[in-house]
Amino acid sequence: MPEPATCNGCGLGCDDIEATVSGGSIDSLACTCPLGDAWFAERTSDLPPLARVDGRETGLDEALDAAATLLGSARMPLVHGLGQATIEAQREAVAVAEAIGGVLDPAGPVLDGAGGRAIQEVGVSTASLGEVRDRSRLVVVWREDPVSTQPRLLERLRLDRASRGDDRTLVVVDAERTATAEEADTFVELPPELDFEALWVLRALVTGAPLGDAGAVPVPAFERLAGALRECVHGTLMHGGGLSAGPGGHMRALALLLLVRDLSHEAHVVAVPLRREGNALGAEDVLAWQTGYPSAVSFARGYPRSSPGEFSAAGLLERREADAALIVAWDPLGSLLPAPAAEGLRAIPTVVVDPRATATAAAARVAIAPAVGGIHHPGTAHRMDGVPLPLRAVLESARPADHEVLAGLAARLAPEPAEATA
Amino acid sequence: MLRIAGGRVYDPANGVAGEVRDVCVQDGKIVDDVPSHARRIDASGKIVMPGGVDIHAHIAGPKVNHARKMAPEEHREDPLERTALTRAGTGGTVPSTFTTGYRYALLGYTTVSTPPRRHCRPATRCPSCAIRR
Repeated sequence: MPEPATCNGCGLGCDDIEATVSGGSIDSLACTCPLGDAWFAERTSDLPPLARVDGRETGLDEALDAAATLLGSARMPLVHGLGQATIEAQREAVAVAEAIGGVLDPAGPVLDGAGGRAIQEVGVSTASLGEVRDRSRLVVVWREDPVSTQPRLLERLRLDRASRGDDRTLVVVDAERTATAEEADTFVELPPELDFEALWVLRALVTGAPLGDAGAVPVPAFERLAGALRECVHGTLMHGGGLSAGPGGHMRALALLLLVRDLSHEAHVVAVPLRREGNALGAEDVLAWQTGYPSAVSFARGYPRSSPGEFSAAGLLERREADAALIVAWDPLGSLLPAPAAEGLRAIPTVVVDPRATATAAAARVAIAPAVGGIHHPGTAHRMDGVPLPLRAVLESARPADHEVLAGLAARLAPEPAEATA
Repeated sequence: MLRIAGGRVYDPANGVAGEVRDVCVQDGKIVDDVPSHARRIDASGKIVMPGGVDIHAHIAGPKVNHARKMAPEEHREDPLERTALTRAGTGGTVPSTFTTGYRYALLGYTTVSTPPRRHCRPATRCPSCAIRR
């Protein structure tokens, strides 16, 4: 009898997965995509030892003691990652960051932090995936190739050619003709360095403002797109991490949200971010509900302050300001950090809590590999449209859950109430 | 054992409306009297009432959390420092969760409930969730 399961392999959070289990392992999976197959496989085979200190296998308590000593004595410890941890683990990670007076940045401006910052400034009109599927007649995918990064997105939104009706239109804006562009009705070729200019041109075309010099932006293509956006019954702008990645990402994300705001005077158009990490939005949500800020939060003064750029993980590491780090369910040394920041991370002692055998875990002073939320223990994740999803356990594991490991670390770092009041 | 002494007591369920008197507690229950050596809290000049219960608050849902991300300047103006007993946080129109709880407690509330969100499984195949999810 297949077990219902939820895949946390990308921000899409497919919860219609069926796992056939026998002998304590997954025999087969139904309804998964290649990313989903890899997500389950990477977390169920060749698991690293539960706990290591300086490369030596230890018990969990010894590893947690070593981690608490390392983080508790740091001057500016950094807590980073969290994009693939459960909500429960993310809550404990905030408690750890607060206890050590550290900085917590779930992803940093190289990934999703810039988008969250833009939302803080102008707000966002958004929608659930169900609403996009059932109501959007025009969907624009900007700077992302979901066929590769969220492989079931088009199927889930009934936007693939096979199931898309004549009354729905898919437009892709990207630098090259991607697999998603092949599925689209219209492909607009745009180099990434023209994103901001193109979005500003679209704003002018939508509002009727003087266009002026549009530079290298292909104005005729955007005139057609502006007309379609103004006339659609319900439209969606789905923007990928590529739009807000790198220098100026915050302004590009801001331009897209301003475009959606302009369009709200003419049509019902919403913005939906496309997240690659399974619970990246959850990390921002947890940080926001516990501190008021979605990213780049410092507890150094005993209360939360947010300053993207100043407290962004990549910046802190690049400037060599962080002197220790706790990395949770993340592999920044794998390929996710810019090279100067990766060098900064290699230069400091780290604690890694990740069920996988990653490059970051291999370089850690303390590495703990807990059970996996959504495979070995239940938990919660927030889909990229903000909908909370329950993660179910399909296998048993003797290992503690990620939130139990982090709670053990937080307990070692925070004084007990009786001790605190003594 | 505890004696809350000299407060103005309001207990509508028992018909007490502003009477100045003592409230005695033993083994977690209100009793008529406790011995003189019981711990004593001077409540003179204060109101003594049952803990408030908010059965439908919005503290932790996705939409209120979306609002929490707005207006960071309000959070900056109202920081709450970590203490030995309480967690850090921020205030503003939508305070952070721990701060919200502490402020409820200052108002006399002992129980606050955010209604749980209904989960269907699997959501992608649930007709009743077709629009919402």
